[in-house]
Amino acid sequence: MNGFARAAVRRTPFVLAGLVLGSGLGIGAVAMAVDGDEPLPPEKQAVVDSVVPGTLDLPQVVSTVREVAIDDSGPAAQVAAIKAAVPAILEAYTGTMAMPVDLDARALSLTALKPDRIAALLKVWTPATVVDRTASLLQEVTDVVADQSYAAFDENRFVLGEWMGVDVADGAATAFLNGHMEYRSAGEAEWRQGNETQYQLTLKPGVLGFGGWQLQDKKQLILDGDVN
Amino acid sequence: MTIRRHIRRTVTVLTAMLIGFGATTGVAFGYTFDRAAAAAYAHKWSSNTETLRNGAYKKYDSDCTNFVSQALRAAGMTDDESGAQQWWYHTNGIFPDSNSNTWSVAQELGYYLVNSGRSPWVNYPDMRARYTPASKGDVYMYEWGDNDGWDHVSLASGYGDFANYYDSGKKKNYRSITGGYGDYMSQHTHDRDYAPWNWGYWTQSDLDVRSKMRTVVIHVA
Repeated sequence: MNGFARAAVRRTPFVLAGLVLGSGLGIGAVAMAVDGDEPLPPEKQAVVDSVVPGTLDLPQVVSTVREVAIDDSGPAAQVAAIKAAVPAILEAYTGTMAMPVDLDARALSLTALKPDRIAALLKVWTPATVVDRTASLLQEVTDVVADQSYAAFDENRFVLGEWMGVDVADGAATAFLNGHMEYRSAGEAEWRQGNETQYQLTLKPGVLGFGGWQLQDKKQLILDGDVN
Repeated sequence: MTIRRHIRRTVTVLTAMLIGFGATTGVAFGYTFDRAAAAAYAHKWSSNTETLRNGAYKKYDSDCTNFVSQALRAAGMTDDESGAQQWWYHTNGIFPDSNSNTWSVAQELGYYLVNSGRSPWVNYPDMRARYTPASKGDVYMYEWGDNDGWDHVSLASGYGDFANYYDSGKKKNYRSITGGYGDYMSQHTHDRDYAPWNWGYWTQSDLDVRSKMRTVVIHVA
């Protein structure tokens, strides 16, 4: 190791210490400068003090919106059956997420309604997917059972916007449609509008299903900017 | 000899401190990022009841990123037209009212800020929380959980009481969220001001969507 390298190694701890101190001062200065050098509320200060820097990841893009409707294809009777079944399927599936706003009532409802949820899921999803879908839904429901931040609802209905193309072939179907769900809690007169969404569905025949059809896969892409 | 060594070490530490300080405050990029100016611009050009647009810039149907970029520029962030990572808006010239993709596309802006070094850190806050680590002028970038990438940006414009605004579509008042106060944001399309930073999460009923929703605080320097 030559003299320059030795000097560099010796200085590394001091460089690192300086960077850490300087960054800390910088973050502190930024935090102080945020609102005219006034001290932050203790609750926010605690969040700032405990910040853990992360890295910005790139979510995998697995779906893109179909911008223009395409012609339906396949036997007309089956296309019609699917168009009749899909709104009912979406409504029934979202209905399995229903729960009261009141947290005590919510906890009770999960136990009381569990068989109904399972029955609905068995009707909505194909036998090949229902186990996984039930597990993920129960996890989602469990996650919000005591979560006041969840915009709970008791009733829901689907409002169809536009069919973007149904294709039936080889004992399976795909259905693309735009629409939104509406929600209402007990005692509410008005419906609350969910996001305008494009549903991209794969369906298979199933005796338990709606009009003889069940969901094999569901992707949903939010179309409006009114999520936030 | 000992004194010289101490001086060398002190200079090393101070130099490194300057670099660290610069990287976290924007000084290193040749401008001072004026957070109050970013917030003031955001409040001036956003509203819960009106569609406000600054005539000095073109308008987009989905205007969220265009709006945030304008606020960043109002805070002093300079156009960057060198290298692979660029961020700019040309008012005049051969192609007036033209801009880089990073100016007007949410995900592109987020990646520009991080990859250019203008954001020294990012953080993923608890979606339910009242407060985030965001300072005024930082950028919130949102993913709706619908498998098509980062969807939206808004500007962190301060903290305190939310606007007393009832959203007739969501059937909720801003003040019904986290006790009525906390970090708020300003945004375009859908236009909001003094709105809870996590408004979309608190008003989302579809569990398949909600369970995948994320927000990242992009700290801007």
